[in-house]
Amino acid sequence: MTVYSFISTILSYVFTVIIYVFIIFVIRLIYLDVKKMSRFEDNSIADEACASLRPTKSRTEPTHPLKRRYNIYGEAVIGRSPDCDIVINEGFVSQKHLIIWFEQGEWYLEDLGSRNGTSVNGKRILNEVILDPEDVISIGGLNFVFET
Amino acid sequence: MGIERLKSVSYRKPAYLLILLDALGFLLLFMNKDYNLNVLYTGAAVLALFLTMYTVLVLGRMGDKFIMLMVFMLISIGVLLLCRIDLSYGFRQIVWILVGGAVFFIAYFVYYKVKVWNKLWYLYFIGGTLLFLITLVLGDTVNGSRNWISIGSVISFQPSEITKILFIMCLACYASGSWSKPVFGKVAPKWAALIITYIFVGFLVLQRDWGTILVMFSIYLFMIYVYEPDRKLLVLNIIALVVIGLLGWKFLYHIQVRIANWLDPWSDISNRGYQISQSLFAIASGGYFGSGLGNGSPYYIPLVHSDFIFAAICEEMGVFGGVAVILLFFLIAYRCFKISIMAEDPFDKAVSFGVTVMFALQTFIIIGGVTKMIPLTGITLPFISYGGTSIVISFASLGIIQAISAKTESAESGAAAKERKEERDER
Repeated sequence: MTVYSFISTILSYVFTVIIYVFIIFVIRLIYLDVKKMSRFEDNSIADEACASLRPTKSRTEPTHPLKRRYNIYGEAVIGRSPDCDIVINEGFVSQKHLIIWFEQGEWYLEDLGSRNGTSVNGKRILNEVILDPEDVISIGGLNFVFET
Repeated sequence: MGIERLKSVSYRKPAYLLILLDALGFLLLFMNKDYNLNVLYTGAAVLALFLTMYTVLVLGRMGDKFIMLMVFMLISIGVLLLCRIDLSYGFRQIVWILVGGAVFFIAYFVYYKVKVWNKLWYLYFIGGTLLFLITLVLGDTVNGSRNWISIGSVISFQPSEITKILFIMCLACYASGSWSKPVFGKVAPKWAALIITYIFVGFLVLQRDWGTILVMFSIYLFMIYVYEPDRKLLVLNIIALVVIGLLGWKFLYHIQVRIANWLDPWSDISNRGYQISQSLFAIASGGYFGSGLGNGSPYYIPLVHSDFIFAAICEEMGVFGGVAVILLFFLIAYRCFKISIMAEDPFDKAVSFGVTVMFALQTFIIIGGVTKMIPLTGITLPFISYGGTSIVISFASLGIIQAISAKTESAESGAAAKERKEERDER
């Protein structure tokens, strides 16, 4: 029985650690969940989710000045064509370059078959991706920080 | 379509930890109980139930994902302790959890599909009254309270647990404003709700079920504190509670004993103060990390498997284990309050608020009682204590909360998807 009580005593510490790590994980998940909830409450205009793109340090210099911030309300097509929600008039940007939209609590990004492609956090994207705040979106050589 | 998550949040890590805890705990008990295979079967049953319910919950998009995780943490701790105290309790608890899981899904779907809950206040009242009358006529007296009904020799249950849910639904009808017509053309819902509360409390006094009285009356107080703009009603009710409490203390022997034990359990330690003092000894002997599962001696505490299980947790898993249990209840209450705040339907709001208050109060009353912070009244610790009705009703309430959160989520995502579709069509 001494062996048993030794193991049991050791495990009592292990149990405490496991339970507390579990609680910390759950608190972290809840924190992320609440953060997501509150940022849509603060920024939304007429019940629509809102995010923004902020130009940041890029490899290439834009020929036309960029705005300080581009807002996205629910959905935005980004490209060179004047029909786009966000117009970026640069040679390496396709007419309709990419689309960002909000669905079921997540922001999605999809490349609309652009010539020069889009990368998120330095990775060239092929399919839809889910965007997180502070992701860096590169369109051609221009970098934008995605903010919500 | 392959959606790639760049920085994903993993819901799996806490689940893995839960599985690890169960595996280690039940292996340890397997050694403790002389390599009795039944321990392993019980552990496997807990894990299988957790995995099934959690998978269905996540894949079926059934609302909040955290509450079930935390509830199964509590259940794991509870079943571990019950198996350690007496294997047959653990075994029966598993059966009850299985029933509870089924009831959880039934409550979820029924609450989700039926839309007329907010108009049925008279049914809740009649149902509650009938349950009380049945208990008074057919009830058995256990530990001084006449609150058990036995059918045959197998099934016995506590109708007052079911009444609590009916009572919350009835109050929610009044609080959400969907019950606005006066009763018999004269009595406004405000006063009708008051009368119903006092009728239920009166029945409970006849049954001598003090713990449930405390829970029900406090639910009523919280409800009117939140929903009633008229503060006078709240103050009058608190005064009434104090007066009734003082009268009870003066005239009822039962309550006198409880208060005396609370103030000084040591003077009559061998008789009336035995239970609470043994509980305090157990908590103290555990220390910070506990004596280890199977090293303690929880058998000294009477009723250790139901009301006093918190003392056993503190003895064998330490003060840290006990604090972890309280923290988990905190987090569950917080999540439920968030669901209540996010809910759009006023009736859903009121029901989830009431159910949350019920969980929180029950936890507070029994943990406070076991640790001698407040006078002891015997009620079960939700999800941990051994007890069929308690487990099943806790799961049913959880099903209702889950349904409310699923309603909110589907309303949100439905609206977003619809808007997006419309915009696409325009383009």
